[in-house]
Amino acid sequence: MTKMKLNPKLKLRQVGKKFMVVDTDTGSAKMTNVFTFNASAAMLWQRIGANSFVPEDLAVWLCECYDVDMATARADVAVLLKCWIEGGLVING
Amino acid sequence: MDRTLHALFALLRAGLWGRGDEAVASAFPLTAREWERVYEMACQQTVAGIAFRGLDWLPDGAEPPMGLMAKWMARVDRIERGNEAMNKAVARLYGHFSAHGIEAVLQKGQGIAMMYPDPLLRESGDIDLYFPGHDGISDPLEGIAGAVRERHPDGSWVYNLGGIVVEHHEELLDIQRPRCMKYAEKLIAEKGYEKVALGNGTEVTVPAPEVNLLLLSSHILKHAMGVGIGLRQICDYAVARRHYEGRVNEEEIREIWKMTGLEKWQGLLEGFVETFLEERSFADAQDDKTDVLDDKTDVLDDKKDTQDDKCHSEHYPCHSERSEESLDKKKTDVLLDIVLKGGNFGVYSKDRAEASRARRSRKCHTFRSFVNNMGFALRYAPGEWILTTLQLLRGQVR
Repeated sequence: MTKMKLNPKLKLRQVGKKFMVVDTDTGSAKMTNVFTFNASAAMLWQRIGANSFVPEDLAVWLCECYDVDMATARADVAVLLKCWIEGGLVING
Repeated sequence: MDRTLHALFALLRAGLWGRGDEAVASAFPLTAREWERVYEMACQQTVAGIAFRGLDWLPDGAEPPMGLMAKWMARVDRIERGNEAMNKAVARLYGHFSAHGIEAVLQKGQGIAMMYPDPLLRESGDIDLYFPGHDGISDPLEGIAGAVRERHPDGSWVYNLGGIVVEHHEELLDIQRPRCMKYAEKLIAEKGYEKVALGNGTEVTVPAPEVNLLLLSSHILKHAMGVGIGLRQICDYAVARRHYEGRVNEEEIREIWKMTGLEKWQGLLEGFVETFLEERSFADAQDDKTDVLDDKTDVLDDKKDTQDDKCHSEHYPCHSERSEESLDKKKTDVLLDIVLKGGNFGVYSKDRAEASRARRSRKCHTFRSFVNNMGFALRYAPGEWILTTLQLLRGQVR
């Protein structure tokens, strides 16, 4: 299975109850580079940190933190990662 | 007060003290254009990082537009990286001075940043150093690669260290009157310095609390009389005041203001902090609401319920005996006008922008600024103004 890493140019920040990921590397952030996360996506992002991961890792972490079965977690992770890959939030690791 | 300025102060209070107050709830929501103005002012006053922290306490749904939030986050990221670079530069300098057996005292800057709840969010400026007992002020520069020195009108040496401006000052304090200087020298000899650790573990020497408060206050005064002063410098004073609470004797502090001739100025400064930056009581916030936000939607939300201990005036022990100066809001506005006109050390003033980058023009601009602020200065610190202006005049012909 292909390992992935988070795009190191991106940074997750919490403002109040909102979680946002912004590309801060370019000096001036653009709207196209802003992503809003919910708490579970933010939890996964923080847990990944600078490490490599595979989708299965994320599914396991979701099961650990939320009352969800493995099949549902795998399906949710697939949807999430599709969005992350399309948005350039993850790179091959 | 202008809605956007009211909002900026509300964010700053929340950012500085790590909690929202009633005014935070009452100042929002803002329109997209008002948010842009708040952000622009925060940048001009070099408090964008502190104000960003204040966003955490906004009522639900009152956040800035997403595009602005992204721009703000990018700026905060740069502030954090700037601070990390600054801390590394301080570590490098202290390593150099320590290897040469030179004691360097860090004035303001990173030594004050570590007093903030989140030190990396305080926008850094330059590195100001003082060398106790060193007559030859340029000596400590020996051996620092690439340090091309320039002398400023106030006698300080300035150089660039990997993109970071470093200044070596002849004096620790911005006090000019001989009698007051003598007192200040005695105070420094008595209180001395102390070691503190920066976020990256670098141990630096900073002035003792009483001396540090005097340094911050007299520094703000010097710039208020001259090229201008920004909110960040006043936030520094407010944070240091809070940081040293319980460590300094208030009677002694009052004596210091008296003996250095800064009593009247100090009344104004404390009044400004109290009016705009100190945590608000419920009554103050209600006053603001009535005065400023008469056409606003009521956005008070459940955060209101969490503010159960609202009055924190005990954080500024001077309040119980505050001078008439601090009670007069119109007088406090004198300082607000200077702050709004100049921003960060006058960098955003119209006059400064029009002055060319040439050294001679900068010098002339500085001198002109002192003359323009004569009315304010003669009222709050006449002796300091006259002697500082004379010193600058001497510097012009250097």
